Amino acid sequence: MEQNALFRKRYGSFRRFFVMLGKARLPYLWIVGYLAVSALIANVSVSTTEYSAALFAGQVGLFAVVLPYLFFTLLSLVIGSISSLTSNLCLARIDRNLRRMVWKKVVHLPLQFYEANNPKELLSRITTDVTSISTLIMQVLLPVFTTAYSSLLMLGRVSSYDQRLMWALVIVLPVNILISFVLGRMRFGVADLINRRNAQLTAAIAERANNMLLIKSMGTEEKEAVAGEARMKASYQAEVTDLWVRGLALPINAIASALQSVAIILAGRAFYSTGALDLTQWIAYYGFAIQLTNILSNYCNSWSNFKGAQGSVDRVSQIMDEREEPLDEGCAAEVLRGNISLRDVCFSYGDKPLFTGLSAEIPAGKITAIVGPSGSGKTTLLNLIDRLYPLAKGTIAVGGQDIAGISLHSFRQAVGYVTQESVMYSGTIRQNLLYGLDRTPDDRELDRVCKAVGILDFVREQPEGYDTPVGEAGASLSGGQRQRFSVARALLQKSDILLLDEATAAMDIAGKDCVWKSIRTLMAGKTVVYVAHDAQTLQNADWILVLEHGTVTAAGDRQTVLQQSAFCREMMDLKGGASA
Amino acid sequence: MKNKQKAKFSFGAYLSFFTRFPIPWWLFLLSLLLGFANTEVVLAVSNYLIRINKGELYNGVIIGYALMNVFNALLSMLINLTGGYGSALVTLRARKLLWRKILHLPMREVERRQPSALISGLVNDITQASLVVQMAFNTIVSLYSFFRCCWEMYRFDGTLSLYMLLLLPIAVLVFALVGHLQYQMMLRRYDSLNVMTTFFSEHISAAKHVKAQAMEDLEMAEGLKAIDSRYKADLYYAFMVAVQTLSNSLYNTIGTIVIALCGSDLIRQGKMPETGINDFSTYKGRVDQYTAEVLTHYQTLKGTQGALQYVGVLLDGPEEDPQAGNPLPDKQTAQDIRLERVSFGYIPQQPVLHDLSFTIPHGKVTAIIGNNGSGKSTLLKLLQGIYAPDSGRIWLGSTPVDKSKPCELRRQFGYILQNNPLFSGSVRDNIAYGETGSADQRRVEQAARLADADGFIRQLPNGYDTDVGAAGALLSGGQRQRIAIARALYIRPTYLLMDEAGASLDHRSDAAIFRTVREELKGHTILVVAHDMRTVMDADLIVVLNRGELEATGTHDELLAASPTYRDYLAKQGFALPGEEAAK
Repeated sequence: MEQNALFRKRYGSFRRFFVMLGKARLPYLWIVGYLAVSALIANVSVSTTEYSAALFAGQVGLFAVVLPYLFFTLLSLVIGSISSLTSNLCLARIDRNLRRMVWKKVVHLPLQFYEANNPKELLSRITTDVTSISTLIMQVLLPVFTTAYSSLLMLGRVSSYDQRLMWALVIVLPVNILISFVLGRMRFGVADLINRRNAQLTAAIAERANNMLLIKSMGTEEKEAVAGEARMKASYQAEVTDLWVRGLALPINAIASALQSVAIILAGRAFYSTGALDLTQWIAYYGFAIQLTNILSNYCNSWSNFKGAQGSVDRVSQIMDEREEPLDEGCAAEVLRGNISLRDVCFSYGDKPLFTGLSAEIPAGKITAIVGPSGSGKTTLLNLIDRLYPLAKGTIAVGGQDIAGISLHSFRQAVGYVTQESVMYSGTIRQNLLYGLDRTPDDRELDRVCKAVGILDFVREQPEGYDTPVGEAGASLSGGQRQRFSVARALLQKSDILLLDEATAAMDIAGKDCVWKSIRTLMAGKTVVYVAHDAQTLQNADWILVLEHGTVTAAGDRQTVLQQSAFCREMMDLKGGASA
Repeated sequence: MKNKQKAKFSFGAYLSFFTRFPIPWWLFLLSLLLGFANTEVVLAVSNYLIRINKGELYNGVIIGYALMNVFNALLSMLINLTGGYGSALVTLRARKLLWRKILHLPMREVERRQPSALISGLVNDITQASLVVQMAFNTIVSLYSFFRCCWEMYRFDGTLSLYMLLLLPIAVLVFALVGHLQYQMMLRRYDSLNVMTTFFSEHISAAKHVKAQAMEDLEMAEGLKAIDSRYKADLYYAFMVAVQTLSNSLYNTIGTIVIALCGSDLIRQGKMPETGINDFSTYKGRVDQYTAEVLTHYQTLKGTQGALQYVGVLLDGPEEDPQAGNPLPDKQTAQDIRLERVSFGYIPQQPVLHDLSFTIPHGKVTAIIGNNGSGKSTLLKLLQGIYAPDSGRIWLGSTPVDKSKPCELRRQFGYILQNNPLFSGSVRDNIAYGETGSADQRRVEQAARLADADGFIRQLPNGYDTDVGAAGALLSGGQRQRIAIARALYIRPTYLLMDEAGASLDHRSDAAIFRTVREELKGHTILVVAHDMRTVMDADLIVVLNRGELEATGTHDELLAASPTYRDYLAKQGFALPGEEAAK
C-alpha cells in the first residue's frame, strides 16, 4: 500500500516534469540532431576499436588496416567536435527557453506571491534551477538513449564473435555499475555537507564583513575572531570527511573493478584458449568490455549526482502552477475623478485579519494624510487602493464607479504610487526617470520636475548630467536622492491619483519642505493620498485619516482630527506652539 | 623598491605569503614520495595490460594485473589523503590569519575594499592559496612520471620515440591555445551571468514598484533581453568548447597517425615486434597523461596568481591594533569632548568637515543638526576614533582620541544608527553582543526594558532565546531597532551617540524611549543627531552644521538669535518664531 503511494508520488513528479517540459518548447530539432550525431559516434567508435585491435595484434597491412584505422580516427575527431557543439547548443537553447517561460510567468504573478517568497530564492529559480534542469535533460535524460544504443552496438559486435561471450559480459557488467552507483550516492552526501558548511561560513562572514562598523564601534574584534575560527574549523572538518570518503572510495572501487576485470578476462580466456577467438577479436573484446564498464558507470554517476536536480524541477514546476493576475480583464480606465470611497473592506494576511469592515472616504482633489501607529495597516490601505491585493470583501469606488470593474493594467497605470522602498535600476538617471513612461519628455520637462524635487543642482553637478549611471539598484545615490528621483518619476507620470508611502522619510527638513510644496502645485486638482511619518509631513495635509488597529478612529480636516484623535495631537504636539 | 615592483608580478611577494603561517611540509613530502612510488606501480600496470592485450592470459598475469590495480588505488588514496590533509590545514591556517587581519582593518580600508571582495577573499581566494602548495608538489611528481614513462617508451623503441618527441612542441602550442580560449570564454561567460543576475535581482526585488505602475510588459521585454544576452554568451561558449575539443583531440590524433604509419612501417621492415604498436601506444598513453597533468598543474598555479596577490596586498595593508595606545581613565567619569580645528574628507580635495572647534559638555544632552551631507554622521565616527581626522585633534578630557586604545575608547561609546544590523542568533546574543564573557540575563532584561523591548520579546515564541533570522529578518523594523538600542545600552556606555535612532520608530515609541534613556542615563553624555525639532529644542546644547562648517552652537534661545538655519528649520516644522511675531 505504502509502496504504491510512494510510486504514485514519484510518478506525479515525473508527470509534472514532463508537463513543464511541454510548456517550455524544447528545441526538438536540435535534440534529434544531437541524438543522430551520438549514434554516429557510437558506430565510428566501434570501428575504431576493432581496427586498433587489429593494429595491436600486428596486422599492419596499409590498405586493409592502417588507412581505414586512420580514416575512422579522423572521422571521430570531426564528429566528436560536432557532437560537443550540438550538445552545448542544445543546453544553451533549453536554458533560454526555460528562462523565458519562467520569467513570463513570474512577471505576471500577484504581489502576494513575491511577498511569500524570498527574492533571492526567486532569483535562483531563473538562474541556477533552470541550468540544473537543462543539465538533467542533456546528461541524464538523453543519455538513456545514447548509452543504451552504444551498449547494444558493442554487445552486438561481441556477440558476432561468439554469442555466449556476450552473455558472459552481460552477467559480469552490473557489479561495477552497482558499486559506482553506491559510491556516487555517498560522495553526493558528503559534497552536500561541505556545501552546507561553506554556505554557513560564507553567510556568517558576509554578515560581518558588511557590518564592520558595528564590530569596530562595539570593540568586539577578538570575540568575532574566535567565533569565525570555530566556523572555519567546522568547514575544515567537513573537508576532511570528504577526503576520507573519496579516499576510501578509490580502493573499494579498484578491488571491485579488479575482480570484474579478472572475470572478464577469464571469460575471454575460455574462448581464446580454445581458438574460438583470434588475437584481434580478443583485444577488441577486451576493449569493448572496458568501454562498456566506463560508459555504464559514468551514466550511474551522473544519475546519482543529478538527484539534486529533482528539487529544481519541483520548484520550477510549482511556479508554473501558480495563478497569474488577470491584467486585462474589465473595461479601460477613464479619467479617475471623484472621491475614493472604501465600503466594508475586509482584508487579512494569511489568517491574521487586518481590516474587518473598513469604511472611509478620501476627498477628490485634495491631499489626504494617513497616520497611525506602526502595524495599523497604512501601507496595506494604499496597496488596496492600487489593487495590489484582491479584497476579501467590500468595495472600493472612485467617483462612484467600482474599481473592480476596471482592468488591472489600465487602472494601475492611471494611479501613481511611490512606494516606501524607492526603487532604482542600474542605468542612467534619465533611463530611471523615463522607465515605464509612455512618452519621452524632453530635457526641459525633466529639468522642471527635477527642480521641483530639489535635485536639479545635483544632476547639473554630474559630469554627464542625466546620462550619469546610478549604480546597481541606485547604489551610488543616497537614500534622500533616491527618494527625490522616485517622486520626480511619479510627477512625470501625471496621474489622476497619486499615492505616496513615506516617500520623503529620508530627506532633510529643507528637502521635505521643497518636495511637498511642489507636490501641492504640480498635483493641484488631483487626488493625493500619503502615509505621514512625522509632524513636518503631516502639516501638508488638507484632510487626515487616523488609522489605528485596522479601523479609522478619526477623519476630517486638520482642526477636526486634532480634536478627535489623541494620537494625532501627540504627533503634532509642537512645544513651541503650533502655527496651525 | 616596493613601488618599482608594484606593477609587475613579484615572485617574492607570491612566496612570502607562505612564510606567514606554518605549512605541514611533512604531509606534502610524504605525498611526494608516495607519488614517486606510484609511478612504478603505474608502469607495472601498463606492462601487465600490454601482456593481456598480447593474449598472454596466464594466471600469473591476470592476478598480477588485478593486484597492481588495487595497489595503485591504495597508493592514490594515500597520496590524496596526505596532500588533501595538507591543503585543508593550509586553508584553515591561512583563513584564520586573514580573518584576524580583516577584523583589524581600519574602517576606511574596509569601505575602500568593498565587503564582497573581502568575503570572496576569505572564502575563495584562500582556497586557491592552499592549492598552490599541493599543485607545486604534484607538478614535481608529474614531471618525474613524465620522464620515467618517456624513458620506458624510448627503451622500447628509440626511433618512434624521437618522432613522438617532435610532437611535444605541438602539445605545448595546443595547450597554450586552449588555455587562452578557456580564459576568454570563462571571462565572457562570467560577465554575462553577472549581467543577467544583476538584472533579475534588481527587478524581482522591485516587484511592488513594477505592479504598482503596471509595467509588466516592459519588464518582460527587458527580462527577455537579459536572457538573450546570456544565451548569446552560451552560444559563444558552445563554439569555443568545440574548438577546444577539436584542438585537443587533434594533438592526440596526430600522435596516433604517426604511430600507426611509422609503427606499421617498422613492423613491416621487421624492426619492431609484431605486437609493438600495442606496447608503444600504451606507453604513449601514459606519456600523454602525464604531459596533460604537468600542463594542468602549471595552469592552475598560474590561475592562483591573482588570488594570492589580492590576499598578499590585504595582509600587507594597514592594520589597527585595538590594544595599542594609552589606557583611558575610569569608565564611569564622563569627560568633556573637545574638538580642536578638526578637518576630514573621504576624498582629499572634498572636505566633509572643515576646521571644526567646539566642546561637547559632559553629562549633558547635545543635539547636532544640519542638512543631508553636512557631516553629522561622519563627526560621530571621528569621535569614536573609527576615522582619523586629516588635521586637528579630538580630546576626551585630557586624553587625545588618536593616542588612546581603540578598543577601550569605543567601548565607552554606545552608538545607535537609523538602521542597525542584527546578527543571526538569539535575541539575547544580540543584546549582549558587546559582552566578552557570557551574557548576564539580568542586564539583558534591564537593557531591553530601557529600550521598550522587554514586552514584545516576552511575547516571542521562545522569549529571549528566539532566533532573529539572518540580519534580523524575522522581526519587524521597529523591533529590530529596539533590540539595537538595548544592545547599545547593555554595555553601559559613558557617552551615548544616537544618529537618527528614532526615525524608523513611530513617534510614540520614539518619544518614550528617548525619555527613559535620558532619565536612566542622567549624568552621562548624550549626543543626538535628529531631524525632529521637538527633540532638538530640549537639548542642553545645540550644534548647527552647515556644509561641514560650524554655523553656531548654543541653547535654543541663543540659536534663535544666532542661526538662520535653525530658525528656518523651526519655521518649516510649523513652530512659531518669537522674533517674527514681534516683527509682525
